[in-house]
Amino acid sequence: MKKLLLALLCSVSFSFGSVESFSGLEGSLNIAGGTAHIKCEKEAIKNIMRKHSKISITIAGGGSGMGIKQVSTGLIDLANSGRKPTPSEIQKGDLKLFRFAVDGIGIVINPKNTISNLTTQQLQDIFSGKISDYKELGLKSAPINLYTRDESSATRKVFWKKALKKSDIAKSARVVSSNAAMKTAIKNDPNAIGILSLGFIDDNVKAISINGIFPSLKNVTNSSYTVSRGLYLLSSGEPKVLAKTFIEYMRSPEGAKIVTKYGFIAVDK
Amino acid sequence: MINRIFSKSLLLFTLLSSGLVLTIFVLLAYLCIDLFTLSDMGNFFSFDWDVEKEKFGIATMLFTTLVVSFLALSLAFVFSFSISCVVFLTKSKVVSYFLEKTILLMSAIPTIIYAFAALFTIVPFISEYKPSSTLSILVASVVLSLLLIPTMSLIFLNIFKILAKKYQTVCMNLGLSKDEFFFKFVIKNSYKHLTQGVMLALSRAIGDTMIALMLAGNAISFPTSVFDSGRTLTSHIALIFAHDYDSMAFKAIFLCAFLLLSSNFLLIFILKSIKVK
Repeated sequence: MKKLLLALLCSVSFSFGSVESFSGLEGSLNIAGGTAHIKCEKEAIKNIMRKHSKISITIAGGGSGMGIKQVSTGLIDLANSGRKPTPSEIQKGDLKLFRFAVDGIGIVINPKNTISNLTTQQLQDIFSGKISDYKELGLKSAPINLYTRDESSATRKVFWKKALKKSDIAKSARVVSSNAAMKTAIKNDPNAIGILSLGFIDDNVKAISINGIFPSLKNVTNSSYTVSRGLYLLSSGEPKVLAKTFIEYMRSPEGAKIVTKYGFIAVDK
Repeated sequence: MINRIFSKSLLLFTLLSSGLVLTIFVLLAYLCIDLFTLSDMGNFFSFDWDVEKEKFGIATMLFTTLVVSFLALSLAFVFSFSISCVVFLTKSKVVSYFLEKTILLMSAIPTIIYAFAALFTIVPFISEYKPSSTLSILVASVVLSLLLIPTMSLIFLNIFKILAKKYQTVCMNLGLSKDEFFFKFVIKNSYKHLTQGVMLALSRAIGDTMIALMLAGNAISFPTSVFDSGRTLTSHIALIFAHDYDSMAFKAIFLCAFLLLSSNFLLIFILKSIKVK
């Protein structure tokens, strides 16, 4: 009897926060918002829906601002946000915050570009438009094509606050609407400089150091690279069963494996 | 009996959809009036958009929309008119069949495919020769013109064919060659329809979002050349939509929507007046 109870206890504890914890659940779950979350959540959703055919989970982008707005009005069940909502947003939407990962935001350039480091001052000058040619950085003369994200993007907000120290962003900067679009733009433009979530950085773009510190997971973990932010799942009020199980899954060891696989740091609080 | 029911239902649905569009227009006008009570009207029609400094001018976006649309329209008109003439005048059935089918195929391609294809073909090409203009008004206009070519070509060809069906035999019997018939009769009598085709294409150009959003660069600075990046009204709506409902930035997009819908109404009005004449 003891063995049976122990086995039961073990199976319950192992299924908690794993795909098995969705057993017996059915219905749909709609998630939208920040685009940095999408890649790892997509894999989690694939794992869940492969085993549980009665569960339907959809995921869409739109940016953190859009996600916060949609979850507050009840249009979606969970919002993805790459920043902490403001106190007024929390109050208006009765938002509950669930952080499941930490992400860094890196400066990225085209792989053909030879820059490897920029100081905060150089960054501020480049993003404000004071430096508009690579010649001023000691390289061969070529125009600097500046790329940024839309104003409701958490990636932009965190970068502006932590890397640019709230200095101006030039109006001539090109604006793209997602991390994926940013990567494509940088890849196709040899003179580009932009900002990207660490989870999106691969061989198509080149990340560079700020003040000699490279935007790596290790440096984000040990806090030497400070341009980082939490990745949150938000619900309006207490999350319903399916949403709650999804949040638990993303924070579980199984979810953490996925989070780490896609270049983020897994956290459970 | 069936015809009567069908025509009545058609009328009902037409009235319903017209009523819906009109309701949206009135609602937008109401929201804009509300907007002008919150801030100075001059603020919204200025060239300065800066959310941090509470400046919500959309004149730059309006200007960019007109530049992108008219540039695309001019390019598309040249190609559409040439294609329609070639299809009509060529003696080779293979050429006319190929061109007509190509136009039909082009009309079925979704906007995003054009934008996506351009992102991986035209943009890297431009970066080789004009490095500062990878995402620019020119790139967006060129790709947008591809979207307009089928709309205009099909309308042009349609009127050429209708006129030919009615009068070609008579004109030929009077001793005109096919070329003379086309240039002296068809062209002269199809001005109004050609203008209708241009207006419809213009309406499509102003309303397009994906191409401008993906290829124009969306910079909020005032463009001084077609090689600069720029933001159209539709892209602006798409990019600002994620703002807080209560923010002035979000409310300003009602004015963008009102201007877009007004421009469509204006074009429809011009189309109707051309038909009446």
